[in-house]
Amino acid sequence: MWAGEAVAYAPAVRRTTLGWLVALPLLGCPRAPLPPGTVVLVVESAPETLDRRLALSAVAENVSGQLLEPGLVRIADDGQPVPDLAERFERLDPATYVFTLRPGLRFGDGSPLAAADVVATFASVRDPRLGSPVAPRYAEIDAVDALDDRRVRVRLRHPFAPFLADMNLGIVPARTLAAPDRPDFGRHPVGAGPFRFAAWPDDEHLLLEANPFYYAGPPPIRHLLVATVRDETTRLLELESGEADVAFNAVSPPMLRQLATAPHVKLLRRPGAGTTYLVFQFGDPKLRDVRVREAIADSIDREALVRYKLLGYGEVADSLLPPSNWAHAAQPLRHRDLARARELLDAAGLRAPQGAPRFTVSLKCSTDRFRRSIASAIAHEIEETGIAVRLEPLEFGTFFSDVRRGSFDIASMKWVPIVEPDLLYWVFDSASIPDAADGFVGFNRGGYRNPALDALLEAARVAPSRAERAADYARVQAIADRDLPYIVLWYEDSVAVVRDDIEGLRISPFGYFDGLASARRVSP
Amino acid sequence: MKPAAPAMAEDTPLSRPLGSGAAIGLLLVSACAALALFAPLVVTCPPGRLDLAIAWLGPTAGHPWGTGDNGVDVLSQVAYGARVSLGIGLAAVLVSGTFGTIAGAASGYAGGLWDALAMRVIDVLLAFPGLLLAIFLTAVLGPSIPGLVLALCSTAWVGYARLARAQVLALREQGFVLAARALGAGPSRIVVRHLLPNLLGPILVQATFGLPAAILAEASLSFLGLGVPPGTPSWGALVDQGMAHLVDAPHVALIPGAAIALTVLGFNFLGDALRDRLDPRG
Repeated sequence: MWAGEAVAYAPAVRRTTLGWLVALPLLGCPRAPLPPGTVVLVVESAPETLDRRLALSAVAENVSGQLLEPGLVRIADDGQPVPDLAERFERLDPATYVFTLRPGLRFGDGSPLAAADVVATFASVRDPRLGSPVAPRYAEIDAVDALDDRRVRVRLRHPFAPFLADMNLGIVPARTLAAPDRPDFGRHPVGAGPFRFAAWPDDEHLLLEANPFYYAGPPPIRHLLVATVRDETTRLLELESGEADVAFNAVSPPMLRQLATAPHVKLLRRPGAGTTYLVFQFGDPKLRDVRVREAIADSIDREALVRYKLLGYGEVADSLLPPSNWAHAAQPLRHRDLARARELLDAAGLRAPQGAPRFTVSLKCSTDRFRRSIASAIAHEIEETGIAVRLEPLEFGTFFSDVRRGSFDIASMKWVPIVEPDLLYWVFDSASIPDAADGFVGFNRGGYRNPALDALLEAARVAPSRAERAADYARVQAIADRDLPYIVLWYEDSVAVVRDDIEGLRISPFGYFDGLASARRVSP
Repeated sequence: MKPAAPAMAEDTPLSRPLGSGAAIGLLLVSACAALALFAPLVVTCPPGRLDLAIAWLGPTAGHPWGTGDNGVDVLSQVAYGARVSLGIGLAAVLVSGTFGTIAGAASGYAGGLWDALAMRVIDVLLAFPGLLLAIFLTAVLGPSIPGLVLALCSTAWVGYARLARAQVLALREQGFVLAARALGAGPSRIVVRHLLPNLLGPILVQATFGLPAAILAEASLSFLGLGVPPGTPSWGALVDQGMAHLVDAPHVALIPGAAIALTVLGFNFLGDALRDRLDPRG
């Protein structure tokens, strides 16, 4: 019965697809006719590929991973991996897991999805010839085998708890991987997600359609256009005029204020999982002194920054892990205390000579108008302690390259939404200090070292239960709060801007697009 | 030779009336200069003070021209920005004018291979978009005021050099130069004592037009975030700040924008009047 439907459906797909391929290049202004009821999702940059294994940008990861190619597990809002294409998973021993696929799974083209596809997907992502940027995440895997059509066994080289969250890698058909003469998968993806690929006539316009074979049933949105609009003001105008229907975290707080009063547009928000922070360079002898870092932390008025710069679209942070994360451990909130900051600097021997600053640090940030404005407010607050701050806004490419190499005194950054608490290992463990030999892969860019913390982070990776991991991470967060390799500032809200005729849209703390699977357009 | 009409005797450029253009120009330029000179007396709060709670507000008693990003006072930014704009403009004109005039005069007087070589360099620089070269230089040198002046001078000097060379070519054949040479004056004495004083008029006219061009270029670079170091009050940077809030706080972009426009207009009017009086072709 399933096969019959697939055959009957296939020619229709081809006809409509061809039709839109002709119509879509005319998009832009004025927009050519789209399939009736098409929902337009506006994004900041075009996805560079639709192959989850090769995606680099957040947009590409989101479109491929959340809409087109789901994995064995998906990430729940608290950061825990929960079954997706797999209906369940069990741990046989600390280093062996078995995933059981849902019955009757099919790809968007109607072909069945079996254990062999899972095995082939993981073999391909680990194959150095593919050059996947996510390959290092699967380095701990020893073997992936199909036990039968629906069961896959994953054996690890040694117990490694964070690996489960990475089992969300999008499963792709084995036959698309075997045939080298197939058109580029990243331009013609096949997955088992709520949507399937329809057409990609130009970089700015990607058309997806509801996948009739999706295991949870096809989504109510029949056609979804992913439109790239790079300029923020234009995105705002398109949402106001109704040319675009949905945007996830693509409008900054100052612009949201304008949208809050616009007719026919609603703002949906929930606490987000991305942490904004300042990172210190431990190579600098003054910043290496914890009293100096603490003084700087005490000088920053985070409540005021959240209220006036984020306009309330955020929450003051107490840890690098967001409160929604299962491993988050609350730390005492810091409040601005200039007197204490000055005392700490005096105690550190950094007294100000008559009329001159105590010392000068540079604060690097990106040239993005909003980020630069926040950085200048922070610089001003730090200067009130008597430290002179040289603000260095840098074009993003230069800024990020400097940060990766540890070339900064203080840098102002934001983490992409944090899912797996093992990020703490990448950020604070001394084994994660980047250097030229490893191509600057580690995230411990300030060069922070604490052997006690290293031991906890390494224990948490192999801890047998989630409760034990959570206990380790709680101690890690307490140490990080005392040592201050980072000053955590706030968690920015996850905000969706939606036209008022779109209902049922769920927003994710991670900014994932998967909420579109449940959304529908109600006729006025 | 034109036949000499009786009225010609009185109609020297210096005797012409100044005209309303010059008056307006003088007024605008003096207003800008006064704002820059008396900035500390005009403003109600220092330019560096921030107050997040009062960002993007309209005029109030404490902030007569309203506030901008992070609550900076627009009046103090514009007043201290006038110092920066005029200072950088004057420095750029002084450096490029001096260097260009000397280079052009020397090249014109020397002639031959040196002249040909210098002129080809100038041709290349003239063909190059000046703002683009300035953007490149400021990006390489990083944000600093001396770097900015250097970037602005990088192409501005060629205008003075062309002018000085053309004048020298005409002057060096004149009787007083021949007389000086016959009396045994060396080339440097002839250039400095006899040629340069005769060049000053046209160079001054060129400088009057060069100043607003430099102010405009500084504002453009600061608008792009490549000009003055962050935190330095600058008209261009203030316009950039206000661009995102044209709807809810238009004064933040419009006031410094008007300051730039009026200052440039003032200098251009003044330059026109000066040219009418000093330009031998006028």
